[in-house]
Amino acid sequence: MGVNMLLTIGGIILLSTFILYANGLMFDNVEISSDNEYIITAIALGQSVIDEAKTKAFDENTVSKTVTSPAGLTAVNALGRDGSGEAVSNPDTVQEDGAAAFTKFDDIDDYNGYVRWVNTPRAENYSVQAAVTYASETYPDSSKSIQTFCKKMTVTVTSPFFPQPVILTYAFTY
Amino acid sequence: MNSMIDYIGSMITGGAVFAAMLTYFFNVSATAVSQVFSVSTQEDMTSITEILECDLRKAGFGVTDSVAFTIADSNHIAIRADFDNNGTIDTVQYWVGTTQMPESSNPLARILYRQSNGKTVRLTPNAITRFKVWYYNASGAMTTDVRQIRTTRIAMNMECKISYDNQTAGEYWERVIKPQNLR
Repeated sequence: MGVNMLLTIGGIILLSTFILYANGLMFDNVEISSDNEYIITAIALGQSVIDEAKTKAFDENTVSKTVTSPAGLTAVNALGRDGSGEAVSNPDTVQEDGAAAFTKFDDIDDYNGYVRWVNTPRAENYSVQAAVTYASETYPDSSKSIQTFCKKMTVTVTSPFFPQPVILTYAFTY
Repeated sequence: MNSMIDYIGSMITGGAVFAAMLTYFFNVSATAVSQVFSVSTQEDMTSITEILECDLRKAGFGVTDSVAFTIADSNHIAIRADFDNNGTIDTVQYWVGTTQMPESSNPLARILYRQSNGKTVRLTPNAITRFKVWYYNASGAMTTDVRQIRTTRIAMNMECKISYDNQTAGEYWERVIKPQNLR
């Protein structure tokens, strides 16, 4: 009887371990699938900011004229919004007709330091943050501390619904 | 008496194991079903938006009369471009139906259609509960003038046509798209 009892207890422990492990795998799968739903939306929101920036001039100094030398572009430490005409709330929010930045910004680096909060019908509190730096024209992954004809925009999207931020990068050239 | 205790003990132990296994298999099947619905909805959304983006990005290609959109409604868009680069301007339209999708119990569920040169297809078996398009001019202001459109913003919410355990898998997508040929 003692041996039978031990075998039964051993069997139940084995079965419990298996069920616990299998349940853990299932929950991981559900979490990954759920994360994916929000990550797909996050990528679209991040790409939207990049596409918005594509509609703008390369630089404040190229809005209405051309620049022939990188030195004629906005200084590195001045990248960002230019004047009160480009002021938007921080964070900016998306209204029915779009975000304020879409109409107020006129060049790419206006998005430097820009933060937008987005609520969607399926999830709230996406935070879309953009940073713009100068980069090498031949190696856009780099960041330059002097003006160049290449600006790199890095868009970071975070949400309470997925653990790691979604980071998108795009290089604009003049 | 001892054998009776053994018998009852075995019944209890066996019952517990049986209940555990039953719960486990129920969980596995429930998770599998919701996973299939969820993943298929996500795949559908990414496929559709890829097609939509591809068409929209070509808007205005080869068009000489500056009319890259012939319909610019909030839930109906018609894009003009030489999509197959054969010198002839094609028209691709996207719109959602006006009536509830028969397979869905959601009153907002609609069917999304794509029409290319007169041939209409249903883009997804799933339900579209929101399909809205905004159009912007060169200065970023909203416009309905087809000649003024330079940028579009599209929002789309898709839901699986079948709910499971009162849960409906879904996916939301929203993009600003600037066709390169519209300047």
